[in-house]
Amino acid sequence: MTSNDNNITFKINYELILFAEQARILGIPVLAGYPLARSITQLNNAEFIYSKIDQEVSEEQSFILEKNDDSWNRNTVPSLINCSQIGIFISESSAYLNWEPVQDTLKNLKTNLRYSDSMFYFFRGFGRYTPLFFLLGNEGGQELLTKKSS
Amino acid sequence: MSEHTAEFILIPKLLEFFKTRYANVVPIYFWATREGNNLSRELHRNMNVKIFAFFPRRPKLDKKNPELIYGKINNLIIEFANFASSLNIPTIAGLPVVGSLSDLSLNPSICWFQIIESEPSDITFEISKHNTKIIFHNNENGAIKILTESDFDDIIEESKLYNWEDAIDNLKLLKPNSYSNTIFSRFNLWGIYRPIFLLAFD
Repeated sequence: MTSNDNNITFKINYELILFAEQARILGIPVLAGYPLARSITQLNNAEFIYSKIDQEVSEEQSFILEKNDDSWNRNTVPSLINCSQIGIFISESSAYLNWEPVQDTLKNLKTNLRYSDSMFYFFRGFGRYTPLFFLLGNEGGQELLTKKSS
Repeated sequence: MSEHTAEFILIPKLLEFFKTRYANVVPIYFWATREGNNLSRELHRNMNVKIFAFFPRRPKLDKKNPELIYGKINNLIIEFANFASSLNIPTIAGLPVVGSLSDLSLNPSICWFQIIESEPSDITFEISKHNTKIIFHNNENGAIKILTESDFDDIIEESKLYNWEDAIDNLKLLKPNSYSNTIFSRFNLWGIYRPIFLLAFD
């Protein structure tokens, strides 16, 4: 964020991309979300936008959103996904799992990252970029879909 | 279940109580170099805000008593609340009455508490899953007050309206190493018992 009133800068970190590569292998799609707010008070009624962290987002990058005539220009957002398409994205890219494998999957994800090439991960495990996991299940909770957003 | 998992269910519920009384309420984790930096001072200059501290608590289970949920308010939280109270910042805690992760999605009952200024000690209690009745094991000095929705009016009344500069200065003070002398707190800094702050903008 800068003091320019009409733009916001966001960054997709390398660590997030590394995480997503590992998560995809395990059948866990990854989303990143951004609040379109320039101050804490604006968070109260902020719009949110989302990116799929998929193969197309393979390098650390920053992007700037600019405001023109009261609306934010979203052309710069990498792999932008509309809210209405998130459901389809999840059903196409996440695996149904039983609860026990889910626990193992999440543990493996942490271990794989810890031993990946970055010293940062070696020390931190999930580290600074702790993801928020959504567990989606049927009514009995017997099967679960996992999705990540950060 | 960790406190963080409980937090995701508790915060939206808590916001509902405050939003019937304040139009602009935002939950934050306070970082001095983010929410408390110079740009933040510039962006929120001339704004006034009431601060509330919130601690999500996790339900504990005992296989021998599946009808009960157990809870604990740690002495460090009471120590925090004593200091926050001296700044007229109320401290609230919440606990979802659930026996599993999947129960969290079913609009669970939630017990809300206010932490009252008192001698710090660990307070434990049990809650019946059936009727959410709470039995304290030790709350003789009234450190924990059970809240109903109408009590939130009094809590909002108790909270002092600060200008943004003073609000940031107070949030910086609300760290264990500034109000506690225990070795645990000094090493732990924000540590495990890190509150979420609700900011209600005037």
